[in-house]
Amino acid sequence: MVLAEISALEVLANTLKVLVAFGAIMALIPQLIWIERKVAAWIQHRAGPNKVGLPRWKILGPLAGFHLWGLLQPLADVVKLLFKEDFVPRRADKILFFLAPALVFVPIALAFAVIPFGWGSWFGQGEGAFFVKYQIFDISAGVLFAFAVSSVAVHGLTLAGWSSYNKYSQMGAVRASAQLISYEAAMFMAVLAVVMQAGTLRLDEIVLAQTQHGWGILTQPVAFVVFLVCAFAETNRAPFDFPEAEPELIAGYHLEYGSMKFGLFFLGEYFGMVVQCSLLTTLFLGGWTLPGIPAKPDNFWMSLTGPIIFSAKVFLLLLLFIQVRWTLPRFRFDQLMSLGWKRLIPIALANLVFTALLGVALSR
Amino acid sequence: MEVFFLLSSMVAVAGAVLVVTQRVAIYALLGLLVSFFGTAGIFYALDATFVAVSQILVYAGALAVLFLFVLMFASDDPPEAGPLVTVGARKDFDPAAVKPVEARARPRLSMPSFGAALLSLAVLALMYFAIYKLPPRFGEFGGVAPQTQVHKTNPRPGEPLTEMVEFGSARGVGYAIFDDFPLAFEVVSLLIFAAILGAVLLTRRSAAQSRAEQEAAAREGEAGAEGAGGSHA
Repeated sequence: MVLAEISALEVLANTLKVLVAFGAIMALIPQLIWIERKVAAWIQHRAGPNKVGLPRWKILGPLAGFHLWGLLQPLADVVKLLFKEDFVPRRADKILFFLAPALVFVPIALAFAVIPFGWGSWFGQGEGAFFVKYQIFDISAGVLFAFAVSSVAVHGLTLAGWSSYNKYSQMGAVRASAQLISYEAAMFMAVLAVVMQAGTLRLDEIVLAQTQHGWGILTQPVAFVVFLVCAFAETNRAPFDFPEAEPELIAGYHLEYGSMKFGLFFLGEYFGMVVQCSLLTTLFLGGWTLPGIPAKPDNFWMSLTGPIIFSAKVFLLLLLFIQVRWTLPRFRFDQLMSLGWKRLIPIALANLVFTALLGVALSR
Repeated sequence: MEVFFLLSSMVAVAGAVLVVTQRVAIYALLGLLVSFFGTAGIFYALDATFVAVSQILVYAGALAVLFLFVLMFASDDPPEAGPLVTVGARKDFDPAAVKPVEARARPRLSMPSFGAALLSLAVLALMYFAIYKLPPRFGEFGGVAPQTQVHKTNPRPGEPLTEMVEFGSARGVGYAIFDDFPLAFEVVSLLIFAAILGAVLLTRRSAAQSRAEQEAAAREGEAGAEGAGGSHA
């Protein structure tokens, strides 16, 4: 094994990279919740959270008691969640009831590991120089890895519903698994067309291929639309939020959950949104690149443009996700199923065949 | 890497043991999930990343979800007939409280279990010979060739006829399936075809039955409606 050849500094740099990437998302999520509530309020002609701000401490001077546009509301919510009673239903399956929230969150968070948020940079000089890739886990089958681990998260949702010993929870669980099975097939086929065009399963190479042939949204518009619709279904958000549809199922699979266990589901949903938007950015919007800015920068400061551009694109997509949620009403469950099986899968399949034929025709 | 290989194997075996020892179906399924991840770890330790990720995608992501979906629909009420039907049963469900239909104790080494053991051994032997007879470029245990040379299926004029592909990568698997073992691949697809046909046959029969029942119910309903209508008029 080559472990001995890796210097301590390189290990430190790579660890730091993981911590910064994970920390950035975890820090983003409370703000994202605040943005979601604000956007929802604007759409519904309300004010939204605008009261929770800085405390009235004298040490803060003129800023004491400043409302800060309600930005500290998520913090208050988290504190409330942490101090709530940790309730477990009497007939619930105790082990699975505890395990399920983790089974939802961990796979979703793992999926982010393969997403390249920049090209990378050289550190150090001469003999000890090393390259830090701006991607946590560099694996040759990156696209597959992202979808493989995020598809495992549905086990968490289903087990949460089953272990709660509640009919509404169970219905939510059944819906979650049915929905995921229906939409993953179309999603894979859409992605397969992109992979076929780029000729690689590595996400960073897919991004670099887009800098040459144009962004995926232009070369694969059908795949983009199919993927976007499936991404709404995959994150269980309106108009496809059936596993937790309030008027029908009260709260669906997390009905019996409270305290931080519920918080973990909530965190998982928003993390899933970030992951799906990152995948959309990587596969269809040119990832960390922008025309006019070098895709493979040669010094450290230029390499920081990658993560900034990437975050900006992801952020715009997140705003789209939020806007769609508060604009479209929820579908009916059979409409969701027929949309998945009768529309999206045939469209994605036709797109796949068309891409293959075009690829063969162009390579001759 | 050897440590990782051993660790993954242990996880896979532990999961498999859970599958056969757990009486609650959901726990058995979780064991299966653990076993799938262990197997993926073994593939990853052998540098076959594509196979490892496919293992998670196909088995843990798709197949196990389907199993779970079915278990959701299975009743968790204690069944009235038949002992030890513990699909979805809770821990507080006492199988002893359910009266067994078949009071006669079975002999420990019955014909079916003997047959099952024999069949398992036969499959094991078959797998051993299949692996043993693999072409040498697929490597032996412990020493996997990092790259293998393959004949290009569709070489363009002027290009070399062979290329090097990484072991266990998407290209490597593609060449293995469509270049080295096309017959085996087709036979497997035939098996899946047979399975689909069987499933269709099973559901068709029950669909025909339910249609007959529906028609019978509709006829009764019509008769009832007519009767009601007649009395109303």
